[in-house]
Amino acid sequence: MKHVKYFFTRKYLLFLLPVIIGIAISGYMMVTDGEFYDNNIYTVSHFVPEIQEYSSMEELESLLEKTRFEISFLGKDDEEYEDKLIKLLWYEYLYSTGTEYDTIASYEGSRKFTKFSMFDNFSEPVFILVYFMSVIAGALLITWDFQAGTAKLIYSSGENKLKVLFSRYGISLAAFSALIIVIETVYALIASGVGGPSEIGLMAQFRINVFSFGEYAIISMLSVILNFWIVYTAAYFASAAFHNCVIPLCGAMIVFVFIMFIRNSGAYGSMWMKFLDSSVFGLVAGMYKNGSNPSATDFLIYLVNVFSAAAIAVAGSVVFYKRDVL
Amino acid sequence: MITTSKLTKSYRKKDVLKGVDLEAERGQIVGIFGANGSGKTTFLKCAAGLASFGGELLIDGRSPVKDCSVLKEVGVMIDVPSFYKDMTGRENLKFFCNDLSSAEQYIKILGVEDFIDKRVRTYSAGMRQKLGILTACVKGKKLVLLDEPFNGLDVLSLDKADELLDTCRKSGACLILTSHMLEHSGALCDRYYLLKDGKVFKNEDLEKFGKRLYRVEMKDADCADAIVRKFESNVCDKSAKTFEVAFENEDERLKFLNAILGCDFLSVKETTDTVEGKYRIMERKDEAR
Repeated sequence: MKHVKYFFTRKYLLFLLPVIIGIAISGYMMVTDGEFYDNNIYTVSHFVPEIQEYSSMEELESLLEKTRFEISFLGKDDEEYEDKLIKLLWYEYLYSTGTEYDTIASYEGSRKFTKFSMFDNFSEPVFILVYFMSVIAGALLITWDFQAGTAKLIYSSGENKLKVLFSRYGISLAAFSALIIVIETVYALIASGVGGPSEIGLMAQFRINVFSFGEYAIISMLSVILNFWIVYTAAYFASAAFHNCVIPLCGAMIVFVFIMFIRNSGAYGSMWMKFLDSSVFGLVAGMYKNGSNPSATDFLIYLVNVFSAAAIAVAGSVVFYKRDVL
Repeated sequence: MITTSKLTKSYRKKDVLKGVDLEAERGQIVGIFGANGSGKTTFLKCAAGLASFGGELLIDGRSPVKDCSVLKEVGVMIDVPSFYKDMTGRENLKFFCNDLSSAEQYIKILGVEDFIDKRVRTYSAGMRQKLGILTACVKGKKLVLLDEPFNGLDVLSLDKADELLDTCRKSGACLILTSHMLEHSGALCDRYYLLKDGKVFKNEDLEKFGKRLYRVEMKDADCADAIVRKFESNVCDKSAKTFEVAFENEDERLKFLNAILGCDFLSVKETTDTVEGKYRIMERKDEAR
């Protein structure tokens, strides 16, 4: 238990500050945006292409038929196929629920369909904050003793080196996960308070789902936690292997730049999110709404991430154990 | 208590320890002395389980690398003592020591009551050094490993540190310390080892290097040259009118003294039989060879 006390020294609590500030800002954005959809029932989340305006259900039906007709001429490899398919699913959903166009929040800008979005206002900034916080905290938690010189006393204490490594990992992972749960719960409560509409999202490939705020908050929370576990594990064990946090931090920056590159060059504005966050989001949402049948692509991307982190953890532990402390 | 046999350690193909054999029992203070880079600290790192090694190193019959639980009663202070700066000295003591039964007694002996409850951030280098010695002694019920424990301590603190180490020895712990303050440490130690080029010489072994070192200043250089030529194999150092000689053999030493008496000399200084003297003899004889 002594490692718990050490973990919650002032130095490490400072790492939580950016996240708390980020949450406060997100909460403010959420409340101010609340007026925007006073008369709207639905909002649309990412990965849904623009749909045409319709004034009646008949007009929506004709749009549906037109899209169905167009898609019949397209092969699966066609560039337009995915867009048309998603539009078709979208029209089918709106038609089956009798949703009028006016009740859908209109969108502004190219990246989002509405000013209010769980992704834009919360999950995205929190994801970025959690990414950096977890990389820095994870890297420093195990390497700080080597920088400060206290490693001499820690690793000559008679406790197994791997026990120290894993106990710190477990405690810090649990502490950060608990923090994310608290943050997301607060956010969900704020969101419920402003009477936001349900969110329509394309969760998992080619599936349209409608989520209440509660559902959305749970999925978002699981998504952030699952991602956090991956990033944190990789940063922690890589730092342990190097006895130094500089190389893992540089690695994390390169990965981040790579993600930003995908973001800017992707077909959809938020492709970068699909790379890490959305794959998990889609995976969790798919499992939540469709039982044990999530999107194969999302599942594969997540598995690759999990195995990468696990490989780094195993290799890092072995190197850490074999290596001299001093 | 602690025995090493053919202990070796290399860093990037450089052999630092080349088969060190050492033995120390409980209730003993053992000194390890040697020049910078001779492998003193490396030896302590191996004993503290902080570095892997070749050969054998056993504490109470167990290897600290293979069975680290043996280190639970081993106190360590290596290089500059480092602690969690946001904690007080006492909190650090609690953090790093499993058994605090002797803590209060040792705090009083070392005279650190004034600052033990202050944050380590506010400590001077000397205060940290004292906390380092204290932590190692409180934790090390069986074995205490101290690397340059007297660095940065004033004269009064040195006396208190000596008293603390002596108390540890009497309580049945085995203490191994390295130091460059040879005269001070030598007087404290029951036994000492000199490390040179990764090899070790026990104090018993050092007897063969002789007990006498003479530094002689002659009136003129020719006379000095004549003596140096006669006792060439014993010369450690030479400048124009001054030279140093060391003798392992008593007959040779007497011959030298007789030879000197027949010459014009300004001064003859004989070193006493200290660790420092032995160390100097060993080093200079080696250089002369």
